[in-house]
Amino acid sequence: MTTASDVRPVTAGSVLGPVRPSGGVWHRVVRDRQAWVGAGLLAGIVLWALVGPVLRPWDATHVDLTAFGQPPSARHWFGTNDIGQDLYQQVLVGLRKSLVVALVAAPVATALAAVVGAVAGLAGGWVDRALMAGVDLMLVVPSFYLLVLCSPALAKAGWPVLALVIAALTWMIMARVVRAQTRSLRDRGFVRAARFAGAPLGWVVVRHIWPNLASLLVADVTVGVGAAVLTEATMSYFGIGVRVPDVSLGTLLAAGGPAAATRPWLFVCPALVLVVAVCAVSLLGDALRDALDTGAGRG
Amino acid sequence: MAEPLLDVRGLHVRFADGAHAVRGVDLQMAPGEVLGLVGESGAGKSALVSGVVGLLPRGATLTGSVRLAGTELVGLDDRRLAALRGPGVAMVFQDPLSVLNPLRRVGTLVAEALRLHDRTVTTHAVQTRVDELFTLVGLPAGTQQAFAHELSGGMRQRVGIAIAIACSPRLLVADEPTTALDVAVQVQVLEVLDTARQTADAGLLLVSHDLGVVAGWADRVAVMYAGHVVEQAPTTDLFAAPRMPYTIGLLRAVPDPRAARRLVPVPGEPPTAGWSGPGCAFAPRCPVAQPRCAQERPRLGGDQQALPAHLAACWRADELVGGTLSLDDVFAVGAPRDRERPVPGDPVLEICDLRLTYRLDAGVRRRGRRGQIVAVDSVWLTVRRGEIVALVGESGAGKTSTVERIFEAVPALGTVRLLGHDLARTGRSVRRRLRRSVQLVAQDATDALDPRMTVRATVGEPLLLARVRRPERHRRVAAALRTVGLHPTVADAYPYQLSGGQRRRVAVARALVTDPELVVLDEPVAGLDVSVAAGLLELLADLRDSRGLTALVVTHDLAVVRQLADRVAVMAVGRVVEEAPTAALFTAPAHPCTQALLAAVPVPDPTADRPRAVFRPEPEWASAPTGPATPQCRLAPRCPLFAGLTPDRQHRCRTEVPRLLPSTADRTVACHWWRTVVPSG
Amino acid sequence: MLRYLARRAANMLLLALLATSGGYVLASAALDPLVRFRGSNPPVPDEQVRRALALTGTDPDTPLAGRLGSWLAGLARGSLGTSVDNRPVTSEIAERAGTSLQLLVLGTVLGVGLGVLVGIVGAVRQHRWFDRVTTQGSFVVLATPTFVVAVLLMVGATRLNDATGRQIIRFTGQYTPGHDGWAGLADRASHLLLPTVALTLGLVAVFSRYQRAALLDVLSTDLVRGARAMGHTQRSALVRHGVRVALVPMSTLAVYTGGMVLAGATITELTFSWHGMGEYLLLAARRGDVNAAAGTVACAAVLVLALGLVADLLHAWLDPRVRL
Repeated sequence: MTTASDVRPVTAGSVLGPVRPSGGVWHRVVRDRQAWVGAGLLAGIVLWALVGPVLRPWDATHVDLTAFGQPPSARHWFGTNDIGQDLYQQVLVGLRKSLVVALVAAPVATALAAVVGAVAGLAGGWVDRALMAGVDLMLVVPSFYLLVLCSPALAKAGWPVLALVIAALTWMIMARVVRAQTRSLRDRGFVRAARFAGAPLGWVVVRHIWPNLASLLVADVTVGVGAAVLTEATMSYFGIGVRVPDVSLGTLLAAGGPAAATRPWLFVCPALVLVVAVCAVSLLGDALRDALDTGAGRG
Repeated sequence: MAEPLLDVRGLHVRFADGAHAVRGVDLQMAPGEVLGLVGESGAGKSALVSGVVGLLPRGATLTGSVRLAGTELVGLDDRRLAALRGPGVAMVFQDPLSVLNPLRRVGTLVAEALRLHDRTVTTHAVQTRVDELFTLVGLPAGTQQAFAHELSGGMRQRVGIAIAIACSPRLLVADEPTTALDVAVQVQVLEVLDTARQTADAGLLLVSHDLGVVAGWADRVAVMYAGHVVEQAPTTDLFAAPRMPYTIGLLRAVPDPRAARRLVPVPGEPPTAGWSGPGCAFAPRCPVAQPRCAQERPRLGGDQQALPAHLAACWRADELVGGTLSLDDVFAVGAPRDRERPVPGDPVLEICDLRLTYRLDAGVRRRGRRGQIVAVDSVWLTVRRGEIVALVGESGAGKTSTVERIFEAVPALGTVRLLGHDLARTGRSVRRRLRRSVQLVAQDATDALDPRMTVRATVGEPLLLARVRRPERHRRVAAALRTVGLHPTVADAYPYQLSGGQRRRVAVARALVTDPELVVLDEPVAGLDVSVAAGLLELLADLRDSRGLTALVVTHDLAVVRQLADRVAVMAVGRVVEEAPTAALFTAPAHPCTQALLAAVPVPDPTADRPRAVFRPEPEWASAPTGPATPQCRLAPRCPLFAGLTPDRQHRCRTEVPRLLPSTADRTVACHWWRTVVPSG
Repeated sequence: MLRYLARRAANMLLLALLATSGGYVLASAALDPLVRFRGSNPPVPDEQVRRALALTGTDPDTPLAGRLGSWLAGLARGSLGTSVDNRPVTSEIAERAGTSLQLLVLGTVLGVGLGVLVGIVGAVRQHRWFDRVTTQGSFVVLATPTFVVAVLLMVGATRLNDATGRQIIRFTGQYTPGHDGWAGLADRASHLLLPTVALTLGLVAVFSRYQRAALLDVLSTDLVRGARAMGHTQRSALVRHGVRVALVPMSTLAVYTGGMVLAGATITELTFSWHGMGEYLLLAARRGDVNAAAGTVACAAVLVLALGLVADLLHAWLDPRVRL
């Protein structure tokens, strides 16, 4: 579409380029209220995770001998646990750990999906069949089962390995989505023309496929952060994720779970922080995906 | 006019996003009349008809008046409107596959259309009527049990027509009913539509971007531009003596399959749907615009006495009628190209008896059987330096896949020689170099460019692949853009910032940038508006005349072929069936398949013979069973020639594949009997 | 149709076999069968360790291929081997799978059914209050781990029981010992309530999102316009033509959702301390019990594939295009 000012006579020989304003996925994202709410909330949480500790005088391991298992108060905003540690500081430590695990896991999972999906979709033939058979195989057993199975081996490995394992077990669905998208891109004129001109597979993936799936991949990383936070929390709750001495939201929930009925703040405070954090990333991811969907168009 | 069947007055359609698609349209139709509605994309045709039948999307508003046989439709609630849709007004859509419920048998869909408006009708009566309708639209009774996806495109549209006329509507609205179909099928469907209209004694509002279709079938024509009807007249009057500069431009931009001619591209682009201004919407593009045109919008007017009236919305219409302003003053046609047939150079591409069989990729089970064999079965083709060869045929004839696979896979049978090298026998590096001497311009402008790349990156990609250094690359990109008539500043734009015509030019520039020996153009103007297509066709003709462009044009559009090609190869069911110089092929087609194609091409001239269906209807089913092929002419079941042959001659068609044999010095034909039997009609 | 199903079934059988073998290999690699002998005082004699390992077929001195071979041979005879406490894994899993299936089947049927319903209503009344509430609600539910939902439900039930002074909702384990007959049945139903709610809530959130999107997709095509052109009102066009078409893509989601549903059920039963498959797997992981772990994984694979097959059947029933 042109703006009215572009409607002017031009001679048939020289067609000038009216450069049009706006368009594209990012412009829609910028105009989207939900994206802003999600991004703002997420920025707030990250900021809080970083500077929150200086707001209170204690650190996470400090034991307040005057307050064992106290409910939230002006002195201890989130209350204290049985041995008098400040839950506010503990939640912050846990939040940081949870976020770091998720921020490692999600991009790795998306990257894996982007490589496998794009190669399978573009190469077709037996490469495609073999890769997708592998993906299907991994989807047959719920990743939670595989995580449990791997847990003894993870016991001594620490959280970075945990993050990588979460990534390794959660990339498959996205790989299928990337493959499907790649296959439709493969039939698009510009990919056909590039391959026709003799561009090798890697060239097409890097220069045509990934740039065109950029918003999908970004959205997936965002959604993946939320999913990884949930996975980590669930694993840690059952004692097979982050382990002492490390603290994450999951370990706090595991500690607070048995007391949930009697001293609810021990469970509710970390749970609330977790839900708000995941909500923030999902709001953002969802908005990105919506912007992408309207951008893809039909036919 | 007595009481009009359809009386539209002051109709406005506004969409939820603020687009003002229809801006005060007045339109009348007499009972039983066929009114053609033409215009380029964005002119508001679809919005207008959607408004008339009450099928606008959510959030769109409709103001003004639409009276159907005296009943006001604007403002009726959904239930009343629904009751009118069917018996009052019915619609035939462009793409029946997206309209027909994929989970229901088409027979039950037609029956449902009947039952919706008469709940008391007996099962027996419904079945009788469904049988009647299927016979009327030429569908065998067996197809009632089929699902939409099992039928071929033309058959689906017949189902769409059967549903539309089930309740004998007063008004039939057909929105681009044949745009998705091949010419041979298009004629058949239009004939069915016309028969159905006559049977139901309905008026037909035929929306089309194709002036040829309108010229052949409409009694009167209304031309739309930017939400207004700008001219309205009996068909012959409109084509013979248009009174509105836009109509003149449109008529002079259309290629004519009967003869190559200079085309006049209408400069500029139509305004956006959000455009507003006091004057004539066409004024900015109008070569004869006056100051008044930009200030005051002309009303649709003219000689009201003559019935039906010839109306035009132009301040200078009277001058055009009076002769003080001639059509050539508005849009002058260039001097005819005096072009000698090129001296055939060396062959650039030689394809000898190419056969390709390959499996459809897994996962397409929606469209057909997995592992179905799609065959290219004997293709012969030679392209010599400096000539443009066209490969024509219906969709599914194997054109595009032939062309692409030629360079991708080593064929199982037959040879492909590029610049004299047999592709099957050259080494990898030579083959890569050879492939770079061929460039492809992919179909569909929006598709051919990577939306994430600037024009410079897109056009420069083939150079980058050939490891040309940056300054040299930029210089050559700028030169290529100039060649296709684009300003070098376009280089920094992204595709979404360009118009459809500009995008297509960028795609051509990309193909030319490496100075290839051969350019393959896949449907070069498909999907472009008439005026934009004219510009591109003229550009390609200029390149041919000035630079000796060597090209293979793959298309189903015979008018494009006539305009551009030196020689034509006609393809059907995976085989080349006839090859000849363009003029010879068009004036004296030899193969029955070529004859059928040519007879079916719509001509933008109402005084010419209406296109006819020479071919028998296409096979009903979307995927014909592909068993082990017995040697036979696979065209026989549809061949008009075959039907008139004596049994012993028919036997030969059934048992022997006709070979592509030279008939005269420069023509080859693959048919056993083309010489001996003169086709009738 | 039959050919299509036969092909799918054969495909699944192969996948099941591969997944099972993979599970065994992974279990052998990740679990240490010696873990339960370590640190015991006095140390267990080597001879005894060796005998115990031989009994479960997990002697690390036998090459992995050999161990896998004999395990698969056992599987062919219908035996999943012996667990570290010398019980046949097969019977243990059969018992626990029964427990897990109760929740799985009930939760899946309710979750998918309600989810589809909510999604349809949400799409039909897009942007109205019901759509807004369910959209926001599913957002929050999806951001909440299943175990948090479960714990909060238990807290709520405890409060309710305390407030009324009666055990209205029971939630620890599957049943209270000592009840039988009708009382036992009622007791089991009471125990089933909270886990079912916890599982169903998450599934409704997921499936309503999918169904809403699928139906909105259909609404944006010409299908509904076509039905309206035929004489349907907007609503009847939607109900008679739109909804069924929009159900089709749901059934193809099976590949993605089967594992998710099972994982959700497992986490739920773990949180409610049921003696189901999840608990068995956790226990196996902790005790280095290769056979028990591999058996559970095999069983999970079969369950996921069975869910997939059900979805395939539904798909074939809904959509004539796959009846080849």
